[in-house]
Amino acid sequence: MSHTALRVGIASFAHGHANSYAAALQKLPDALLVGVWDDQQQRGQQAAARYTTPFHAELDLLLATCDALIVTAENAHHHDLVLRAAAAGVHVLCEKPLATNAADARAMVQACAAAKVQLGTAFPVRYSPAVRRLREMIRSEALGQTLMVRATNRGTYPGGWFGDPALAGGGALMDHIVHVADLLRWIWGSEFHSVYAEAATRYYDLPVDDCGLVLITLEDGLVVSLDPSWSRPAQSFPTWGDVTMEVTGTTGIASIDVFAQNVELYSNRDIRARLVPWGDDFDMLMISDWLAALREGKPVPITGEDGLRAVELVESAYQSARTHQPVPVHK
Amino acid sequence: MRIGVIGAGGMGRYQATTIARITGMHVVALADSAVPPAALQLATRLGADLLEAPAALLARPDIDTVVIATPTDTHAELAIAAARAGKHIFCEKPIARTLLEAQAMIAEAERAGVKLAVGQVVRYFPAYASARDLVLRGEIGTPGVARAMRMTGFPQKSSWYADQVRSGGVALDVMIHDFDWMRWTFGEVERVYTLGLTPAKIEGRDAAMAVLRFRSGAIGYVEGNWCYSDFRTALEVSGSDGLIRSDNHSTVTQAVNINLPSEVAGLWPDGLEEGPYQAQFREVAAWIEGGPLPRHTAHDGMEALRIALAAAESMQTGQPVLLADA
Repeated sequence: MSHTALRVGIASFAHGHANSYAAALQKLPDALLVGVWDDQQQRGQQAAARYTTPFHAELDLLLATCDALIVTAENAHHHDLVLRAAAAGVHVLCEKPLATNAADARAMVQACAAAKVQLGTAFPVRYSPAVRRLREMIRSEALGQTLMVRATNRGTYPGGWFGDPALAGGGALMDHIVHVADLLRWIWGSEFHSVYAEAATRYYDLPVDDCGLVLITLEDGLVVSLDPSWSRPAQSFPTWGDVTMEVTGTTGIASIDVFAQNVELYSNRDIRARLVPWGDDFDMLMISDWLAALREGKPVPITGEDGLRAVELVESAYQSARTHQPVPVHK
Repeated sequence: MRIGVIGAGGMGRYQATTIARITGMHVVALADSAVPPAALQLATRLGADLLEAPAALLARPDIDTVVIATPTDTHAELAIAAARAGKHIFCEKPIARTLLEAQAMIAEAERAGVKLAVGQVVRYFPAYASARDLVLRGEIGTPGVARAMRMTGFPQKSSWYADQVRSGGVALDVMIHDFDWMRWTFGEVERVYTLGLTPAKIEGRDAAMAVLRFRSGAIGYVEGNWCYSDFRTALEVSGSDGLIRSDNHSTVTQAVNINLPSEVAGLWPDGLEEGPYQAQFREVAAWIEGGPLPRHTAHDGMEALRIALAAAESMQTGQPVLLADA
């Protein structure tokens, strides 16, 4: 690959992360945002105008100008968009969850491998310095043997298509299992053995689950609890949500609270107290690392397989929530 | 009320000290087969007799109420003996080691016409009582997920707590507090699934995580952890209209950063005129003297034990456990 800037397109602004990825592409010197495609023309045109880049109503026209594509469509559309990018010989970074079911995710991985393009999955939380330090501690056995992990990825209900099973593929469990799932595999270097999950719709009038609790066993024996609920009150909670882990080891306890770096704001202009973040921009760090790998012809840091493994856990968790039984997680 | 305390370990001594502060309560005897030096000091301070055999305490006609603060697996035998001796009983949690024992205790107290109360002190912690009130008043709408965590250090190696057969490990000794609070707040539990360290029998470590599904549809998460160096509790309940959070570290009104003997160090809530243990015994004593039922009954104690045993069973078998109709 040449040393000229990588040409990157964005397929759909359905997911809000498209905005931070677009901003990152604009800031990074070795990348060029070459255009936007969206199945909702108005949304796409507005985004294109915001980032002063062309809008394409035809995906193939965008793909013809790209080295790489970022897919930030509704979950259910990831599969088709990634396959079309692969067919056009374009590398892809796909928003999480990689797909709404393991079969689609597997097909995406296989199609990209067959087309010799790289598939990446967007798991920006890996770029949290707290996560990286925890990983070093675990790898160096600073806590002795890890015994148990309590994790949360709680949030406010994102609204819109996130509550539509046809587009999202599920609810809170679909949305909020995969980040922690990826961290577990990345930090502990072990795959999932089995999962038990409870899921319910308690907060909103929705056809999908909005809360739940997931207990995960890793192949190395580590036991994990994960709360993926959309349980932060939308009108009153001071921030969007959290990613936390508390790790019990034989020689100590370690906690991380990935999004704890905030200034507290109490303003008479807004009756809700607010947390104003000042931590690192993980999206920017992730995009930068992904582009560097593509430029140097190296494997991307977070692969399609990583995304697939997380989707396999989600699928098994939903099966458990239906059957009320622990379910093995198969690769 | 004239009270005899059976068991002069850490909890027995704490109960005796707490109860003696309540107006009208007289701790007249302590009984412990081992008689630790600290018990001797306490007996002297309270002006109570120190006996070795619980039977000697139960034989005393001047004692009307007995506090049982002995290892869990001895509760049933002592409570039944106390009932037969015509004493009212206040038994520390868990009510017993098995459901059969708990049933026998309740039946014997009924037969003997004495009152049996069980200490589940979390109901008397103002933050937990308040959180329940807020839920029941509908402040957070329909409850979705309730989370309760309780972390502390592993018991001393020589202690009976460390013996899972005697104490039941973290499920029966630690998590039972939050199982009881959740049942009090959200009603009966339909099923429980638990992952944890108890089956692995790691020396000096025990912890477990239980997921509960209530008949109401709400979901509960309860963690008990004996791997910490300090005492921590945290509670969160989310609902369709809001969220309740409380933890014991962000509500400390006084912190002392010196090394204190473990019996004094932060295990008990301070910053209250009347602490939870005192409030609990006052309410139990009022019931014994003819007042209304305390907020926690022996039946509640047995139901909390049922959930804890189900959690322990799930941890052993790797399968969810359905709670039978109470």
